Amino acid sequence: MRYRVDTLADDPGSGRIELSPRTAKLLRLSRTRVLSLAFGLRQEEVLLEVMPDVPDNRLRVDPKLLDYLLVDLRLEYELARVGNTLILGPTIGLLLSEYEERLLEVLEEKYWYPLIYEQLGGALYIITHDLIDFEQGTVQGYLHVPGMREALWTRTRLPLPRAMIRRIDLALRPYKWTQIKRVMGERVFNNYFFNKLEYWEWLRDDPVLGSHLPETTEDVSKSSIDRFLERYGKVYLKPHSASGGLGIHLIERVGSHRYRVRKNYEEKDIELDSPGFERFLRPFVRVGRHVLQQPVATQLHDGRHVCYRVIEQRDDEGTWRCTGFVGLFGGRGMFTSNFRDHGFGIGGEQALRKQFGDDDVLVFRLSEQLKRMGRQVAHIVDKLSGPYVNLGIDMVLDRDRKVWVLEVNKRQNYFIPLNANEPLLFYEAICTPLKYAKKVSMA
Amino acid sequence: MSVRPKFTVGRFGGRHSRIVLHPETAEELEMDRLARTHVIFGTARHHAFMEFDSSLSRREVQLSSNLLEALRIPLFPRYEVVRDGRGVAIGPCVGLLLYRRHQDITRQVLEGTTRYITRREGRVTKRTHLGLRVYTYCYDAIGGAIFLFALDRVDRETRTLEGYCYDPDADRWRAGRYHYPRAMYRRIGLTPEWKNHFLTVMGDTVFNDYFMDKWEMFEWLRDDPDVSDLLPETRLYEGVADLVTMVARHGGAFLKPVAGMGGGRAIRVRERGKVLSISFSRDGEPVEHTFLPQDPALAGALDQFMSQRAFLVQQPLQLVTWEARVVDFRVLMQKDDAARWFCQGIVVRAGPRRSVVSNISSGGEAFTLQELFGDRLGWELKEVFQLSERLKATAVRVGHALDRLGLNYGTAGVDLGLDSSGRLWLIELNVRDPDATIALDVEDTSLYFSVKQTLLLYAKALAGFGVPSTPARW
Repeated sequence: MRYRVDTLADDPGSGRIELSPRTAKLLRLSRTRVLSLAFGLRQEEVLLEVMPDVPDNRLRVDPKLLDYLLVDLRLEYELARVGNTLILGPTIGLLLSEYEERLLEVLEEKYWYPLIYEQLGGALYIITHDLIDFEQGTVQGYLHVPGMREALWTRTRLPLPRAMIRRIDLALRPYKWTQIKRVMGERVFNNYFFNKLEYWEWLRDDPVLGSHLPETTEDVSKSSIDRFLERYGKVYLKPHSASGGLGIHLIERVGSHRYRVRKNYEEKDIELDSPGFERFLRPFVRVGRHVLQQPVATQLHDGRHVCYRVIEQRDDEGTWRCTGFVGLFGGRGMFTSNFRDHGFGIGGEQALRKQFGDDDVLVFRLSEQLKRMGRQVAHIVDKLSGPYVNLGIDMVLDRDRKVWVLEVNKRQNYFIPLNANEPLLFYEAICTPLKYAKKVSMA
Repeated sequence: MSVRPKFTVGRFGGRHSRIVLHPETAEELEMDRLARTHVIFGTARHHAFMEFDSSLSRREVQLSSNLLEALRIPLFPRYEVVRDGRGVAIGPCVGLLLYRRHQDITRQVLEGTTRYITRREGRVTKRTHLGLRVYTYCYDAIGGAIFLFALDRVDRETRTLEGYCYDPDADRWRAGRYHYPRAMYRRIGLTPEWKNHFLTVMGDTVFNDYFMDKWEMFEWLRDDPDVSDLLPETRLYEGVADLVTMVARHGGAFLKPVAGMGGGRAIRVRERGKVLSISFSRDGEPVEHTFLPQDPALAGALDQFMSQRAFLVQQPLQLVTWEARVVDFRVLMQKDDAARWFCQGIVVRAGPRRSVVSNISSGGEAFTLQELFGDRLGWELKEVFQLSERLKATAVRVGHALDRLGLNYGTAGVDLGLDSSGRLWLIELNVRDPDATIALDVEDTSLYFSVKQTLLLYAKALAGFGVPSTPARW
């Protein structure tokens, strides 16, 4: 049920709200009482009265209360009761940029978030860090007002939302993230931005996932590399926090004392003797910046590495589900599957058919394996470091069709499904977290 | 934990009534402090003493012979092990009651192939897939013991059944006698006596066990404010007067049988000036007659068509059409091992031309949303997406409404219609083994397999081996 809010114009300052008997019954409220009314993270004590002349789809509220709570009267809301608090909402914030200036350059492109507004209702607004007033607990948000032709998003003063989806990395200015966390607590997700080594350590202790992770270490010394080469023949040198395959080196031994190094997206290898290799390594030997990782002998397709991006998200019930997955084919001769350089992406099942053949049962089994592993990863990461709503997990299948988890992306690139020609999956990936945000916002 | 490790069950050659684990495994499973417990398998339980042995493999559980025999635990499945209060549950132990007679579970049924023919736009595709083994394609997601059995081999006195248990290593079904499973999906009808017997022994873990008819659906849902707006005006048909009243209010009416599926016996009534036009299908062909409302022949014709069956009279809906074909949506809703409703898929059905229904079995055709609304009706992609989201959200509301009614459903085919004003309507609910082959009608074999498998995932949740969903904080 959705409600419009009217003002109690004849009684400002009374602190009253009026509901119809039917609404009161739905909320299991039978009589006049004092409780709290919450809108976003603001709340105020109110006197609730049940009045037969109030239409079933309206609330009447003291205008001074509305001013304080910053309720926007253009919207329709839902009501939820949690103990002695009545929540008017949902209020969902999208933290999309650090600075308003940057947001404004791309604001009108963000047409996709309100695509499911009908299912959400309430206040959906885009937020930037610099527009938050932490002292007042308010924000100048860009609010979506349905039916407004002039603009998709309108700048409006609002309280901090009861749920916020984070899409920016504030690694270089952690104090800004601390400010947000302090006010939002567990109502902002994805909460913690981990690096490669952190999630590897979380996952390796899981009795199921442990054997599906390539060996990884932050010890990037020559002796460590030699150990990997002894064991696996090759080793990846990867930056902690880069993405898209950037900055990855593949190292192999040539003969007994020489090394071949190739940087991803570059065609030329370099060959180095032992002292030369040590000099090459020096800038990388800095704890916390790079890791070494076991390469996985994946099943190539037409000379290309294939990786699966599995999109794990919490649905409107809070259950982790695979929203969808796509297959990413790297460039021929490239040593990763990142498809920036002459690679391509396609739908997940289509990719499995390309890689393993047109066998319905096999494709189903493999896709279910990928989804199961993805869900397991999401459960563990969320449990150890949550809350999260949205993870992009990169996995590969080796020649024995075993699944390996390569990467867990906490701020996944939503355009990957678009690049894989899966536009419906793109919309779904963007909108699904909003449904969970609604659930949190009404709790 | 979403995916649990799998264990083999072995025989302990030492003392009676022992359950033996590696000490690190016991710690991992929070069983390291147990001294005396009980082992649970399906509906059977037996007291046991806990022992620890570091020479055991980390993924092995050993049970004394007397336990194995008393609990009738087959050794070939790959099990999960969880704490269940003070007990240790080995499972999951789930069942498929698909047949009345054991003799119908033939070798062909167990191991043979099944052919399915899809006809789409003049193109015929023949598929062959593995009959009942479709339930076990992703065995590792389910794990434990999966029993397949018929009603005539269920022994109420001993609470055992004679049937088959799936062997994942051999990829075949093995015959045996077992205790009742902890949870069960059933496809066959059961008498109240049988239903209450299973309820008593197994608890409320037999799902989709109540086959609601169309009138019950309407009666029970119309008082739920969350879904009542989805229901067209509906009455039980007791005579022509009910029909005439509905026509007077809405300019037409729809008559459909209270029980039964397939849409084959639906009647559309339209007001054409002073006469009523009655349309229905006979032997797959559309038939139309006209009558004056007061003509006694009208009642006679309807009575003959209805053949003494109970019918509903319902407000007609101006549903979206494509090339003069009625279009509606089958939303495949299920619960998996998280025991929460989710949408497995949506199939659009377009009925035969001039037909009053859209069912595939009545000659309709199946499409994906993009195929019909995007490719043929020219909708933009974001509009197709929005429609999909509306359908899913509506079907989830219906699922929750069913839960509030106290019904234990894990699978439902929710049929929705979209009228020309953009409003959604609940046309029908299919809870008696909703036919998953509609997925094959849109050539989505993975969807078909997934629908079959998910039945066992929900059974797994009911059997106590589910996964957590929402964080406790919310």
